[in-house]
Amino acid sequence: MAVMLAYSVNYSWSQAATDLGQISPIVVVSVALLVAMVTDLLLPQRPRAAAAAAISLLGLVGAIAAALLLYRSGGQSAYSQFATGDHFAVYFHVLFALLGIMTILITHPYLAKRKLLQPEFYILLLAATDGMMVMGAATSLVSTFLGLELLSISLYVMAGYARRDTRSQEAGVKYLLIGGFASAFVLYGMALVYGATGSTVLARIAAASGSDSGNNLLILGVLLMGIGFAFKVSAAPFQMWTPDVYEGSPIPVTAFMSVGTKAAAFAMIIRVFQQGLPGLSQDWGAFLAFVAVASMVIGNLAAIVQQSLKRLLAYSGIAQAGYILVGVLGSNGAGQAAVLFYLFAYLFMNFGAFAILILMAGPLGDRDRFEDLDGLGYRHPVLAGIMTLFMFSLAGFPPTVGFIGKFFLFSAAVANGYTWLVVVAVLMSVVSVYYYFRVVVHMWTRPAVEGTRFHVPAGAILVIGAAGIMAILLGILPSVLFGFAQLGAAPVSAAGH
Amino acid sequence: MLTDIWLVPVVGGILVAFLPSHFGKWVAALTAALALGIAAYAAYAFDPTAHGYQFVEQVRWIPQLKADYYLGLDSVSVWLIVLNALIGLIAVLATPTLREMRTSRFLALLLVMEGGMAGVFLSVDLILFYFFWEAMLIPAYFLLWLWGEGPRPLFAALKFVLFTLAGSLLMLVGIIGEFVFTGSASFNLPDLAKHQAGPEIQFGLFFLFAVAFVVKVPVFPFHGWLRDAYLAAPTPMLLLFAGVMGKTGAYAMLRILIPLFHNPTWLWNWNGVLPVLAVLGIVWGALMALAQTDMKALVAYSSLSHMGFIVLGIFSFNALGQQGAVLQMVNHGLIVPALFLLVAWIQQRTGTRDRSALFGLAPRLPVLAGVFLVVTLAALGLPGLNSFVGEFMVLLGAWAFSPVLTAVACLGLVLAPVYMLRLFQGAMYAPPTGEDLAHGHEGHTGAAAAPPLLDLRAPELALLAPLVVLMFIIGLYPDLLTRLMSVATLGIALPWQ
Repeated sequence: MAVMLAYSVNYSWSQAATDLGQISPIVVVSVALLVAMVTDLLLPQRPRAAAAAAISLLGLVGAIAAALLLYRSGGQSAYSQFATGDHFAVYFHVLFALLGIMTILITHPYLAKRKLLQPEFYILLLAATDGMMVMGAATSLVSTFLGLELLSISLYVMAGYARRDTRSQEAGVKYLLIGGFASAFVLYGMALVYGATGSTVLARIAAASGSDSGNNLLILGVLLMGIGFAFKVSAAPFQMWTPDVYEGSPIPVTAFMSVGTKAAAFAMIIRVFQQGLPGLSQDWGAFLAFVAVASMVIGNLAAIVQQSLKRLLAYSGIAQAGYILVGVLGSNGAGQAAVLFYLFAYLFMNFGAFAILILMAGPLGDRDRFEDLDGLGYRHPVLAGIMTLFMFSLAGFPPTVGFIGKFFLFSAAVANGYTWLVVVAVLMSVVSVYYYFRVVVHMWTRPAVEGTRFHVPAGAILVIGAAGIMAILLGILPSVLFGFAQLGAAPVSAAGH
Repeated sequence: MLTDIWLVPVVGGILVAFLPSHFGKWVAALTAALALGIAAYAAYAFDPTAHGYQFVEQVRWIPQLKADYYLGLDSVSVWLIVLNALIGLIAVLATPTLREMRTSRFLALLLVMEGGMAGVFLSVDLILFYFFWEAMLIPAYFLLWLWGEGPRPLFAALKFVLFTLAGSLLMLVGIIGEFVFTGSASFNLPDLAKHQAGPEIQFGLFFLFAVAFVVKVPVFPFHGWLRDAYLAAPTPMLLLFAGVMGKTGAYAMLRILIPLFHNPTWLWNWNGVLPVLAVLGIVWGALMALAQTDMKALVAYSSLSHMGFIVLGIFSFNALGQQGAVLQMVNHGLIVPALFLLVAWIQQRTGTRDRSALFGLAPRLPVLAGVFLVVTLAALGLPGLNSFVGEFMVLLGAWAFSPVLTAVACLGLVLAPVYMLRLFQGAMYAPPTGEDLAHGHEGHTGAAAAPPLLDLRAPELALLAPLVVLMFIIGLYPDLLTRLMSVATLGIALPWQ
């Protein structure tokens, strides 16, 4: 206690400035969040939502700029090792800010069409993005949990955002209950780890735990945290909430969380397990391997029989979480880099696929049945072509980014001795081709239903076009992004060895 | 130059997709002709006395993976790229023009598929090889599904894709494993060949690679997709599909399995298993061909039988057998497209593909009958035509390896005249059977009185002419090909060197 007090007394202004600088992207988003809230109070009803959207966009673009500055200058830990501005954090800052920008660009017309246009949506979106960024930058259990809750609470509200839609309400409540349950698991596990090691700072946990596999308290803590993390990445057998919440939520929310929650939770897994508990990699490795196999098998098999595209993408997301976990188990350095690369790839291909479903939504609700896709190839051939590209990418076909991403994941895992796991993964990928192709088949075979052409706004063209181009460009020339992924992976992998 | 061989068809294909049908066909034909010109020039400039890869293009592609964009031409692939380009041109010209966009898209996919296969033959780097190997599946899938014949083209397409994908994804694990377990410095075939893993690891890796190749060829009993896919394939696509795509599997065996795994022995020796499967395929394919009444199915099964000879030659492990196998790849690539074209034209004229419903066509279609005779004789291995030399070399090579297997394989040679001549005689000459005579006056009125059929026209003859001429040239002067192969400049140590 005395140490803490002494520390707080010595906290100087210059130190505060340095610390703030290390988390500057988070600061920028937080400021934008506050500005948006205040503007909301000052403006008349009509332009509020547009203003909030504009402020959010500005804030997120600013966050990317701040992240790039941080990339050039930063890299130290801040707030006595509670957060950091290292390359890992920077990588995720850019990823999350980009996700936020893409979501805002595609969502505005959707909200207008469904008469849901309220500034709160953007404020919640910024808060959730802020939470994700905190998770990427956090280097202590406390700050990690802080980010997790900021993200989760914002998402609970967003899932129930379509207030007059009972399914949306149901999704919100379900997500709240099960998400709270998962958070409790995480928190309990963190408490046990703190009890076993005497610290919440990852670096000190790593030093204190060593490779102490005999410490039951620690193992139990790891297990409980692992279960909580598995909930958050929607990995089986903790995936039950995913299809229901994905299906019920308004589709832009589904799109946002399908990529965001997953990426943030993987940032958390890598931070906590790889950086904080490298000595126990055997223990959490066994747990994650089990979860990976379960996710790939359950996700892929259940996806086959789905009738709703949202549920299909939910199960596909569960399966994808399994593939990414295979990468987490990869060799030190290469594995984490592969995960970081794949998360960016996932942003483009998965969010891109959702973006097209967002466009299809009508004023009364989302159109996410397979039949709603019928004839899309004749009504909107370019859109259908890009959607086809996303499906091939999710299925892992070259020359798309999905293939090269999986290659990175799998090669890292084989290098670390997980060949059997990779064999399971590729066999399950074969299954996945069936349901991804089902989407393609519906777009290109069935006759077009009259009167279902829809307007494609400029923002959507930008988002979908960019995602489509990236999905193929990164598939052919992955080395630049993978170089950044390697830089991002360096701080977390160096800790282990 | 080598880049152009695959890039020209791909770029031309993408261009053609956006053109109207008639104009598109011209552009497609020009593209295919240009590709053939480049390939032919490469073959002309190819130095038969030099060792190793020629016209090498090597650029670091993904530095982090040590993957190169590495193309090279050797004494095996040089024949196959010319074959591919030739069949590609014939396929484009054989495509009927309809006044719809659909023809353009068909041609576009056809050209992309041709480019993908050229890439497979040219790749020296395994990742690049895999890239092309998988990429060529996508156009094949769409061609089979959207333009397929028969009641269930989608089913045939999906079956084909899932069969091949299950194999090739296992190969992906094999590629990663080969790199990891041999400690090679790169994914280049010459590098990998220098690093031989232990026999147990080779045993496992051989299996992972071989599954992909035996499905693609196909080798008995992995031919489950063959009948459905060949029956569904539209004729122009079938030329490339049966004529060239199967060869990619055989080529890969020669180029990857043989040099990379000198001793795949653990529980048993894989090198002893494949020839047995090949011989089983020879006999099985011949027997199945005997049982078919659908001419397309008959040719499909005869193809299974002939591919068995190629695999047998490859795994005879001597220069004679392997040269024979390469020669057979070219021969089969000339004969099968010719047969399928003739079958399609007979169907076009008579309205049926059912062998038992056709008779007495020769007097009505003298030119077609003449060409059909030449191709039939080539297919059954008549001396003086191309197939004889290749099969003879394979059998000589196989004799040195295993007389018993060779004796069984000869059954295929005995059966080939039975089903081929039965097909030819039945359709062309056989008089109406007793039953037909009995009902002749009420039912059909016999061949002589049947309405005249349009014989082969000049453009159709021109399509077949190069194939038939090459059958004669190779049959009379096989040294043209084998001389080049005998120096066996593979850039990689082959067993006979």
